Amino acid sequence: MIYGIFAGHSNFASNAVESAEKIIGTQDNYSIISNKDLSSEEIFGLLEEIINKNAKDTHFFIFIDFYGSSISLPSVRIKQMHDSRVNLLFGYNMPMILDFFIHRTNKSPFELSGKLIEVGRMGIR
Amino acid sequence: MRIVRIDDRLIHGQVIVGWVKKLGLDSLILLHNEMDNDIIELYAGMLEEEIDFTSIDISKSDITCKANAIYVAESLNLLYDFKEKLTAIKFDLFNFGGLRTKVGKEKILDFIYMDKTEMERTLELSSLLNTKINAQELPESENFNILKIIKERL
Repeated sequence: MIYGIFAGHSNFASNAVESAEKIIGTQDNYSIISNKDLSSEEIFGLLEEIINKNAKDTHFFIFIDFYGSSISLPSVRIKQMHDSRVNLLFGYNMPMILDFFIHRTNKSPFELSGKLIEVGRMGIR
Repeated sequence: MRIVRIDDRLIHGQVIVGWVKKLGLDSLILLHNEMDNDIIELYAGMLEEEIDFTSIDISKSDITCKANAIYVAESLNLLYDFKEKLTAIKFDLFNFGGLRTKVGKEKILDFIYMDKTEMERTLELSSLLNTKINAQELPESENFNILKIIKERL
């Protein structure tokens, strides 16, 4: 199982995932992070805590609302620490969230990453 | 318009979009003390190409004066330690955009935490810079009189 971490400003991530669950049903093995009132170090600490708590999961996809947000740098640091176990996806949208939950058990992290970027782009018309 | 901003997230959404893009600023200057080049490159990569980006290690170099620019530093103490270099530039605004590290600090505002030393240094720096000072996350968000709040705490 690939674990999902959805991060964003204010309630962006929680609302996005909640909306996805309205479409495909309740999911598990994921966490939500908001950067609200958190320092860069606190965001980094939260990401690290989630990964350590879910060490049984072999791979983690971290979704960040946009490249350049305050979550970006802590995420890059996490990627540097756990390189082969972590994928970063910046600028996620609803098609990507849906496909992540649908395909995370039947695709490799490499395949899934490519697919999510593809559906994310195709979803914009 | 020339702004100096203290923000422990440094270059992030509020700065890139909320200040630089919203106010039509031309330059962003990262003030730091021996920051790794890898990290500086990551920050630089977050900006759109048309933004003129400069990083200045203020322990080694003077601060370059640029028009229509925002200067960003991650801590008050960094600016305080090199205050002679800072005061060589005339700023229109000394902005506290976020000091969110909470351990050992007192809550000043939802997005500002300081210890007593930082509060005293804020008053001193404010006097030296002799410019408008505020605590404000975004140009259009609530504007707090941080000097008044600090004076009431000390």
